[in-house]
Amino acid sequence: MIFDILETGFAGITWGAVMMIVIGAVLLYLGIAKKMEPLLLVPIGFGIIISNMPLAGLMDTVVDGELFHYYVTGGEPVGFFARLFSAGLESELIPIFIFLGLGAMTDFGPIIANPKTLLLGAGAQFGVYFAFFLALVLGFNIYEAACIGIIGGADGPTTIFLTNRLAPTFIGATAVAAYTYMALVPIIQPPIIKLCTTKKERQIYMKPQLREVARKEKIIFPVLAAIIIILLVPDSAPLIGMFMLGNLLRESGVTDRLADTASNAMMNILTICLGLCVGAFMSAENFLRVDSLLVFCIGIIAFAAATAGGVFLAKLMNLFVKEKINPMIGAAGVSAVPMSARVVQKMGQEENPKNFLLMQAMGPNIAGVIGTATAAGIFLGMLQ
Amino acid sequence: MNVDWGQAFQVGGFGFLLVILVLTTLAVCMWLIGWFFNKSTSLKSLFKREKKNQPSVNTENKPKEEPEYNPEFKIDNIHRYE
Repeated sequence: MIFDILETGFAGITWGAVMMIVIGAVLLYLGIAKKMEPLLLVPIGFGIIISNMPLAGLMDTVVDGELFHYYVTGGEPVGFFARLFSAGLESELIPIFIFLGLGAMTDFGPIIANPKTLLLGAGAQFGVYFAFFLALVLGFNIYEAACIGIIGGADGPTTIFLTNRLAPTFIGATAVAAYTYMALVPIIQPPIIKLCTTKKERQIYMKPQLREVARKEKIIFPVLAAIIIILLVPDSAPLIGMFMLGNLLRESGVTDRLADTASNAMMNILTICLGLCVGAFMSAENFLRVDSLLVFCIGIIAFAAATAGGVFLAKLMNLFVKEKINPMIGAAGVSAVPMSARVVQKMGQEENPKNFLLMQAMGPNIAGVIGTATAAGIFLGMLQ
Repeated sequence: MNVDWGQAFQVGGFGFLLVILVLTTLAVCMWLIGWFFNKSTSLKSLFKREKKNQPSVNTENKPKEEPEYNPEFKIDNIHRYE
């Protein structure tokens, strides 16, 4: 018989694989129909579906001569996605180069014009450390707890970078949690902001116009920031170094071609590879575990705590500053750029139509990226 | 699972403080640079203004030359030379 059912994928299908295919389909639905982070959720969702196809062997890994149909850290990658995962994520190339692209896409103008908003980025890191302790209490070891905590920063590449170093088996769960919560910023943040502020506080007016930032200041910032942060936290060098290099390419004015490639073509290629790798890692064996579900639960608590931490720090700062700041901009201290700043802008307009908080919220938002990358570097330095 | 809480508090507490320290240092440095740039810009503009006020440089304050005799000159135009 030419066609034998036993030679098709139907013969090898398992309930776990079916579950993962359904999860992949849900992510595709969220990305395409609901337009939630489509650039990431579409490749992740599709990656999950095809890597869970039985007998396709896309994530096959050989460990001590034995073939596994899912990725095993430290094994020899055989399948196409396994090789891509090993070369791109396990080697940390993709998350680090994504930081180069992010730097080339970021305008540091708002934090240079109003440096005190950098502190709001620190407030949001409260969520990272809150979730770190919560994960420890729930029985995770200290390495896993650090990786779960960093989800609170809502920074996908940083989460992947740290998890790959400290708890590689969690990479699928933490990455998907981080990206899912980034996509759900407009749903998660508003109720928390409302819970932490009064109507009067949400109506505080802030001048939309920040001072004009000189070009020289914009060039000095990435160089100075890289020197200061790497001197204080040497382990953050790969992320912070590339982030600041990307920004220098943008602001120097003499490397427009490089900045353009880093922020467009390179970023797009990396995003496809990253999405596929994360999705492909999510085999039933690696993902359908109780601790993965716990990672999702603690992740959302981390994100909520980070939002609240930023808001409360803004309220604290209001006790000392002459010109009051709208505490909602503290919520943008999580590094989901620019979704978080957009949420603050929208809420600010609803509460007080005269308020244009976008530029004011971009400061803490960018500070959040720097803060989360620094926190990851600190975890690495202290735990590796 | 046994947790070494001493190490955990060291990582969590010290780590959080270090993040705050890094961002505060950066904020102070940027504020100083911004202050320096503002100062130098305002000094430059002050210097320019002073240069303008110097009679040798300022062309606007030069004494106006007497108009030459013009037979078509009308008395209505006299305010132009005041």
